[in-house]
Amino acid sequence: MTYCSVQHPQHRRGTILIIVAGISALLASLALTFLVRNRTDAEETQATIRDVQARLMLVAACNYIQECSRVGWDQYPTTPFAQNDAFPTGSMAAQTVNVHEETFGWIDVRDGRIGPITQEGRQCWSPALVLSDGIRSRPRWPAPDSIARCPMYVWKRTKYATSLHAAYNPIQQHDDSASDYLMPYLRKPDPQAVGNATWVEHKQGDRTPRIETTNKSWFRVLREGPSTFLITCGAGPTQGFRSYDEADLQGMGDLFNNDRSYFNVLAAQEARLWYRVEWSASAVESTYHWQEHHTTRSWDSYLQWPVNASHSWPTGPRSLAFVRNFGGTFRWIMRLRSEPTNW
Amino acid sequence: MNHPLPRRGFTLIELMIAVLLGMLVVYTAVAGFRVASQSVTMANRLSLENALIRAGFQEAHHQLDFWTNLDDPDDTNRQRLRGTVDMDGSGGVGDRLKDIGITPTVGFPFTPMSTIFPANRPLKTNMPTAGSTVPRFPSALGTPQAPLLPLDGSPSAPVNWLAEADNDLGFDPTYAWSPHDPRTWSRSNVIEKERGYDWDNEIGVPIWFGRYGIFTNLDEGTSLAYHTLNVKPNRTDAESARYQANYQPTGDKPHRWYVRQVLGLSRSLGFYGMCDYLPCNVIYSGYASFADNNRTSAGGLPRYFMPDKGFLVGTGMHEIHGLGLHGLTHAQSFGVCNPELRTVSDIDLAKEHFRYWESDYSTYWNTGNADDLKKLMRVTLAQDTLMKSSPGHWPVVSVGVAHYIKSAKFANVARVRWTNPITGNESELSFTGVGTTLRGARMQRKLDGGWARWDNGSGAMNDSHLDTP
Repeated sequence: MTYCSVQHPQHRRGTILIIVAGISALLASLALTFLVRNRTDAEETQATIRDVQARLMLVAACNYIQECSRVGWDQYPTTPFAQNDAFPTGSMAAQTVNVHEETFGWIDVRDGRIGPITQEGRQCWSPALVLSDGIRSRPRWPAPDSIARCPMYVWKRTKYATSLHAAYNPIQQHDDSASDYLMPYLRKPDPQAVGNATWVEHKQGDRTPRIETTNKSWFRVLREGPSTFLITCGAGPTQGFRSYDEADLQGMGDLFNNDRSYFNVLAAQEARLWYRVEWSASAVESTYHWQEHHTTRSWDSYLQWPVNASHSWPTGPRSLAFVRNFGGTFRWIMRLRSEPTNW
Repeated sequence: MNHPLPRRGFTLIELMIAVLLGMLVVYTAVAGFRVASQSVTMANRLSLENALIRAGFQEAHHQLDFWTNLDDPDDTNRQRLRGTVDMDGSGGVGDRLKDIGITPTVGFPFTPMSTIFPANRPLKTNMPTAGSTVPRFPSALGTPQAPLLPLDGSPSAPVNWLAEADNDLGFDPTYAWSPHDPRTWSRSNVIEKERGYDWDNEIGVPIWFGRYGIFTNLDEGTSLAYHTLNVKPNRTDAESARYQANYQPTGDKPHRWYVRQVLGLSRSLGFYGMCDYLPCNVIYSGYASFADNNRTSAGGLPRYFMPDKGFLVGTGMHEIHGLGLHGLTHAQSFGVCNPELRTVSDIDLAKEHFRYWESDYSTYWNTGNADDLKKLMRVTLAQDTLMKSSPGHWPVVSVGVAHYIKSAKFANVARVRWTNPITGNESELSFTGVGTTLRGARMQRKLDGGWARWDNGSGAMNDSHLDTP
């Protein structure tokens, strides 16, 4: 009895163990299959995401080229920064004001000179060779044959960042003898600066990158001609440096732990696309008035609907708001099939 | 003591329970295997579907950047858009070109400039070409250089207008259409009112703001005589009479370069191609000698540029004036027609590149079912299967990219569509993208086949491409 009562339960436990182990193995293999499959899919998807991220940089680079054709320059090679004056003649001529003067395109619309050039005719670039891309010396951006390197990240706090929270400004309603009785005085500025920033901080913002936004993507622009540009679009952490030598020569090797092989590993994992584009100063299409008005047979003309007319309703077909681009436009975009020698 | 003998069998109850438990275990195991098998199959199928969708997505981006769905440099059988078509007698654009003395042969979006653009030869017979040398900058296939300006002084102090600049008839791939070049300033006729349907009897005041024909005209100076106008009956007042000027020919020579570029690009590449090549501020118009029988307006505007009669088709309005890109494409679209899945003749294919499709509200008003919009999508967004052959249980993925213009925007619409082989359900991913433009795609293609090499290294030898004169 003892023999029987002892042996049988042990045998049953073994059976259950085998069954449980089998089912567990089944589940484990199932889970493993899923995980392996998911990992493979995720890796392949990552490649697609990198490609898309790089393609987004084409739009960013084009926007940058458009904006730079007209704004953003306040240092001129022929004029020391401290002496940049917004008003070269007249009573304010002596003032030194740090301003972004308007310029008139990569090819100046007034006389065809290579821009950007300010209204007074000051050239915002110098052909002096002052930088090295690790291969050869180049002038400083935005001179022809120069390079702009633009790693993309989000600032910790953008310029003039305002808080989403409304400032508490109660209306005084208890003392009817007070001068502000029932008056909605805004004793606290509203909206308020983010993070209790001082005025200077508020104005300048905080350029510290938000860490979660770094190392995603970058673009790099080589001005290959007066109005043609070679854009490199990248998705990855090399910040737009072409080589470790370039980063090192510009004193930024520590971004990559001063390690050439580390940089090379990062570069090998990146997606990089090359495009050539040609900028045009054409800013707006030129239909003088809109066909909708024809139906009324009105005797209107371009005098009534000039190109910069703004009194039309904003969504109306006569409004030029849809087609106005003060930074110019692009005449063509061409993807390159292979990496060019210079970029 | 009597010990019971050890049992050597099971009772019926025990057996039944054992069998039952055994069945349960077997059933559970089988069900587990079945679920596992199904799960693995499902995972594989979903993974395969995802992989194919990704491949379709990548292919769509590839097409956005290289236009291989429309013209494949590696396959001469898929280069139908590189030819030319004689449209003589086929109506439409052929007749409109003949109206103004231009050979009615037209090209497609990938037709090489050297075979169709009137480089170094006149658009019209006996037109002067003296002084025209194209390309002016033969060494600069990649780098634009300062253009030859028509004024030999400075823009602020012009001296003479150089005829050589006007006689330049070719397409110069390095020319940037810079705003400081006065040849680009033509705005054609600001507005020319027709005011009626009967052209000969009801034309009112076709030339309100001057003789815009001198800014851009296909013909020489002595051909600028306008039709003496009939004053519309309800405008026989003094004010109207003021406009009844009889414009006499003068010795002023009109400028020709602008209209030749506009007409030349249109004739060479179709309406979409012309819009792609010209800057966004161009007025799509020009003049020719006045010709009766409705071949030109009273002001000399060719039918080619008139509403409902040629290029400016579909505006539905009765007012003649030069239109910009937004005006042209506010209610209708021009597109690049995909030839690969179409069996139409070359003439019909050419007609599709010299017409518009209604793509605004009017497409609903007129047909109630957006018929023209559907046609536009059918001819531009012809989808092709991603894999020509694949196992029957694989999803079928098709990809297409359409290029058309709407409201002055160059739209690149990509579509990836896949069909579930089990359920038959069809899903679709549509998106727009920024990529290579038509002109960029043409520069990617080698003139005599294959892909054109381009490099900016010192001493790099770059290939001729479809825009090389």
